[in-house]
Amino acid sequence: MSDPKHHEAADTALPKALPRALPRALQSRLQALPQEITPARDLWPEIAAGLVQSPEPIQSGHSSHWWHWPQALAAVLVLAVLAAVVWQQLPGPLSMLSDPLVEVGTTADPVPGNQSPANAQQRAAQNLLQGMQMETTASLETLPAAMADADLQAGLQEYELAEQQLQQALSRQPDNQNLWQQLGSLQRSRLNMFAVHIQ
Amino acid sequence: MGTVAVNQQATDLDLIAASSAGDQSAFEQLFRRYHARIYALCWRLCGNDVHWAEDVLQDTFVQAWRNLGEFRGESALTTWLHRLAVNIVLAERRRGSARLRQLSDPMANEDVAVAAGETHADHDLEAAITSLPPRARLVLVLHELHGYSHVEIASMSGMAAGTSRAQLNRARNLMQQHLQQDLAVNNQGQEVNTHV
Repeated sequence: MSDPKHHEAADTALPKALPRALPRALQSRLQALPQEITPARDLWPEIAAGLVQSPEPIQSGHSSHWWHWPQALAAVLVLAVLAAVVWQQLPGPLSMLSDPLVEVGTTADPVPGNQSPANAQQRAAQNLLQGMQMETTASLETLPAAMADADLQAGLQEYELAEQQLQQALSRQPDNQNLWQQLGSLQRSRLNMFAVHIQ
Repeated sequence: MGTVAVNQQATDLDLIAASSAGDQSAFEQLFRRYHARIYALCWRLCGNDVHWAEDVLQDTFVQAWRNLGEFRGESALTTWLHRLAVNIVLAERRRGSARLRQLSDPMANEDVAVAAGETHADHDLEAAITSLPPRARLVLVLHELHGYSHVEIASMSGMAAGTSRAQLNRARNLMQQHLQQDLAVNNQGQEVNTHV
């Protein structure tokens, strides 16, 4: 390694020679710097504590149920958007529908001779709402217990009760557009509560 | 779960295999074996900021623990650990961490300078390294101090190999300027003392 003092003396005498002389000396000095520096304190205890929080090294195929609930929520929200789109495309005057509505949540066989486009859309909306109910239930089952806590469950029960009452009313007044709108609004509101609660 | 006894003869691969199976004592041996080497890099990349360097070192080993399964032994373990440390520092830089704004605190560096047993000349050199822009400092430290090639630096940092070369030239020029200025200041001081 070059002697830094030698260079300093030369540099003092010939300052203009410094830019050419320095790189090799600089490189030598850099390479002589310690490649190992021991921290002033032992950091292992803090690292060991960090390992406890992530107890096992990640092996291939590692997964956790924790990661499933956002997917479940996403599925529910997609269904909600789809429902809203279908809802908006339903014909305005529902009184045009001649087929009495079956209760939402049950499967109805198509009635021969009653296959108008409006009726098909109505059935599609029913199926979609039914699907939403099933998806919501399935999604809740995938949520961690902490997410499906008492408050959320109580809120969902209230919505369920309100929905049952609306469906009963719809079975008596199937062409009541107000009731249909309330049902849609109820579904959206329930999903909003669901999303807010798990944020 | 068996544990690997404290044994200087245990190879890195033995310790990695045991650590991957959840043996923390094996992982501690790896830490003891390499932490000073990783810390030296962290300390310089963090502009000699002790607290930041300690945090990066801790994060590096916690990440290493979690991702040991990804280590294939294609490179030295120190290279892999250096890569993790570089990524942690770069990620923090991208986030614009508040730490970066506090980097110029000279008091934070004094303790480590003493701990590292620096001579005065080393201290000037370390100060010159710290004065470099982050990317130039990264390349200079990895290339000149740790011996990584530009291709390896490119792989570790995500910059192109050509950029790494350019940053090294920039770092060398800036280092020269910095050290020349220091030299001029020292010479002036000596002349004043002689006249007095």
